[in-house]
Amino acid sequence: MASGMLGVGVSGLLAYQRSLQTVSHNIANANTEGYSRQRVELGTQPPQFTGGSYLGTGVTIYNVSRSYDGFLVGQVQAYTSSFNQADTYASYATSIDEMLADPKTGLMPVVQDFFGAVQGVSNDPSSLPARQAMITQGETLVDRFKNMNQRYEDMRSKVNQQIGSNVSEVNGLAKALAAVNRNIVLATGSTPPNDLLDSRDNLLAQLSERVSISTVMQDNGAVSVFIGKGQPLVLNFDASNLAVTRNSYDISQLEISIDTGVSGNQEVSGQITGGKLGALLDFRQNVLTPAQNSLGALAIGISDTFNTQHRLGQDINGALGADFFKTSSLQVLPSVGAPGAVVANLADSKQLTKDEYLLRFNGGNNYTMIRDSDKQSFTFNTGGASPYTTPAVDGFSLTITAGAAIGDSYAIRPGKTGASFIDLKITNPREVAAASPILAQKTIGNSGSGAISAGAVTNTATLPLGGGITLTYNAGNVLITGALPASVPYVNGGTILLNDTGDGTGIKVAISGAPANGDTFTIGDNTNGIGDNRNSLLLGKLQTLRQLDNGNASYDEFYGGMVADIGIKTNQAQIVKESQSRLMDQAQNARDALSGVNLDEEAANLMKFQQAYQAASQIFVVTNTMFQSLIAALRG
Amino acid sequence: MRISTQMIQRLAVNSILDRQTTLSQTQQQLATGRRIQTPADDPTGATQALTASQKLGITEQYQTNAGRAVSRLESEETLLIAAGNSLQRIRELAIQGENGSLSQGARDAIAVEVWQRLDELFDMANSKDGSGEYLFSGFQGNTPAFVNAAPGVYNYQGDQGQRALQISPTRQIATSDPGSAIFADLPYSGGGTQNIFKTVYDFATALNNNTPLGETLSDLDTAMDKISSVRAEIGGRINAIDSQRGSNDQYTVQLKGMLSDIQDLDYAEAIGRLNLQLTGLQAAQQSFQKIQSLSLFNYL
Repeated sequence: MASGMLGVGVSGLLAYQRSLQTVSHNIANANTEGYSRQRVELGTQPPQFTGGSYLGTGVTIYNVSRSYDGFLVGQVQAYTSSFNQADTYASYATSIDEMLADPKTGLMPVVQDFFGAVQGVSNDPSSLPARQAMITQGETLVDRFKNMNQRYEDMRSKVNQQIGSNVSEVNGLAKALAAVNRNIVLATGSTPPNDLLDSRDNLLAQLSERVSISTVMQDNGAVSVFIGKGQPLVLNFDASNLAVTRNSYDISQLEISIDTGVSGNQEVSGQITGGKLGALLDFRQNVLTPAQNSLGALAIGISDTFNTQHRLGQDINGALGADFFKTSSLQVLPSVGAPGAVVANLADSKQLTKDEYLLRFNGGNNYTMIRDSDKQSFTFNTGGASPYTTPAVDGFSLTITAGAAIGDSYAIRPGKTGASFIDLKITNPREVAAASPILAQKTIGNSGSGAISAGAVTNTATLPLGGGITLTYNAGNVLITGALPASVPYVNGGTILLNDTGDGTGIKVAISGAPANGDTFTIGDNTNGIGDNRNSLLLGKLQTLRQLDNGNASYDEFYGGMVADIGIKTNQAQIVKESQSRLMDQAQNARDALSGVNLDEEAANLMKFQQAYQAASQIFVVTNTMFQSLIAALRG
Repeated sequence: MRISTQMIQRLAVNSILDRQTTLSQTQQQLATGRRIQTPADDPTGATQALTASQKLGITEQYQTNAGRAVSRLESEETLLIAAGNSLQRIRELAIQGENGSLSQGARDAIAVEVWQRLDELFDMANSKDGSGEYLFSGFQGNTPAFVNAAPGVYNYQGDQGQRALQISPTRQIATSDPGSAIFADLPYSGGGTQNIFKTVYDFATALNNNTPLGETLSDLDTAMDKISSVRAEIGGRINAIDSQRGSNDQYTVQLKGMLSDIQDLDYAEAIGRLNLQLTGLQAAQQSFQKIQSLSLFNYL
């Protein structure tokens, strides 16, 4: 009997000692990341059958369990991935956004200053200081393009570097997970190894910060981790290795590959989502690249359209205008091993977009080009010609030289290098083409009131004119010598196109008023016309002319579109980040509501178990007293 | 719902951090006076602001151009007034000189002044502008408008180029007139065209020869009419520039207002917001401190 009571007492002491230890463990880990509070689960010992009844034999410890819900923990992991993706994406997008908005780094103030200097030349075309100012502001414009592009390039290398460090962290975590898997499987017996399980959850959470994962619980207690579209990262006790590899077109761009063991590295950049890695890849593809391409397309657009007008003018030395800017060539990158047999040519800078294209050789004479944004495909057949120049698509054409093997492909990025290779071509202020190369005059002594317009040059093919052109009014017709056509009917104020080069360009003049028969008008070279500002006026007007984006946007509107695009993306990223942050907090709260330690609760438990322990120890006092009473009775 | 101790901590800290973030945004707005800090704050507004400030810059440039155009036209006008006065004086001398009762000596005396006036007129036609270019040579800024090639031979060396300046996106205004149209290509009483210098030369020579010419007066009138009509044209251009300047000014005010609406901060609203946010932050901090001090362990 007494030994039974002692046994019961001992079982109570042991049970409450364990309980107190567990409470202490909870208190100690109240602030441990990912810790799940633990509970000692108590139960009665099997009763003893004595005669007609069952007698209790005390308490036993069934288990030390952790308060855990796999679903809640899984939610925390998923939202951690999405939050980290949104957070990283938003912070990268914000830095571009801020650069575009800042007047010290944005483009518009220098465009304004440049065109201000063009107007300065219009105001005083013979002034060398005014011309020099235009060249200096042109240099500033070119520098700003390059600086902005450099910022994009810096961001590209930062993305590369972050991809590298995140990949090595993922590899480290994968190895640690494989090791923990092994420990858990070895330690799992009748009771679960709670703290090991918590630490594995912790590793999974850290992995989720870097990349979105999916997990599968194995029967043996190990967890398998997959990334992307089911590529295994951890299987039981083995971890795969992610590798940083170079893009097959652009070796300066790093990609993520997974080492499959059997078939070598397999690129998975396109499949990785979530977490910081997902954000880096997403940002690079959907914000950085379009922004850089847009800037480049704008640089090409400005330099080419400005050059076009500048070439129609005449410099102070009397020579036809040369290019003012140097326009970048269009980037074509062959895939590894493909011959460099494709060149992209600028056909119409006004149609250039931020898009990228992929050209593939299908064999025979057939090539297919796919536009990245909408996957529209264009097919070209060289008809066996080499080199062969394709019709223009989106403002550029391709010159293809035979030599590619079937499957060879080429990445075409028209805008990519636009902002880095723009330069100033002109250095001598005398070469600024402020004047128009022609001069239209009415002959002194005409008896009618006919006047001739200043004239416009849209093609310089037939310049200089040398002998000059004479237009003679005769009975409702204008007879022309020195140019074609030979005669046109007279229309008051109507444009007369001379020396049409076949595309509606040449020299345009208009005669208005009432010329008398025999009245003549001459068009000659503009010799010594140093006071002429007609071409600089036309150059100045380019600032507000809607040319780019197929005639829909002026320079500032094109840039504005780019700023709006980035602004909207950044704005969305910030909103998504906020909402993901809330969702992550909610998931964390839900998990903590179940698994987190509440110190007040533990304090109450501490008191409860302490009292129970004290009570159990009283059993020994009572047992002892009973025993002493019995001894005393036997003596007596 | 069960709450863990870490959760109490996290919720409190998060709410303090959130409040600090919004507070710092408001502070940033107040410090810069701008509602939009980056395009992401308001992408549409930011783009509108970009376009508006570009237009503002261009309009300011047009105003500069307009000022420049007015000063060029005014200096041309001053010269034409002087040329008109010279011609007016020559006309008076012509009326005197053609008086049939004058002696050769009296005519010679008049001729002395006419010769001087001719030089004066010729110099005016060959005036230079502020940057040293000949005003009346068309585009041939380095070439004097007229040359006295031989006695009585005055050739126009310029061209018919007319310089213009941009004073609005759609409006160019002529800021010069070629000398040929003012001084040379004038209808001649005897048919064909006259050149005013040649007319005055012939008149002075006739006076010296004591053979006054009847047609001088009408030819001088033609020249004076031409100068008056060019002056009227210049006045018209100055008026047009003034009115364009007015509308440019108006547009500038409108653009500035629009820019201000888009990007400027409503200080009253922002200060109110700042106070509210400060109170919120304070409340969050104080409640955190109160809750943190509560623990059952204090009673053990």
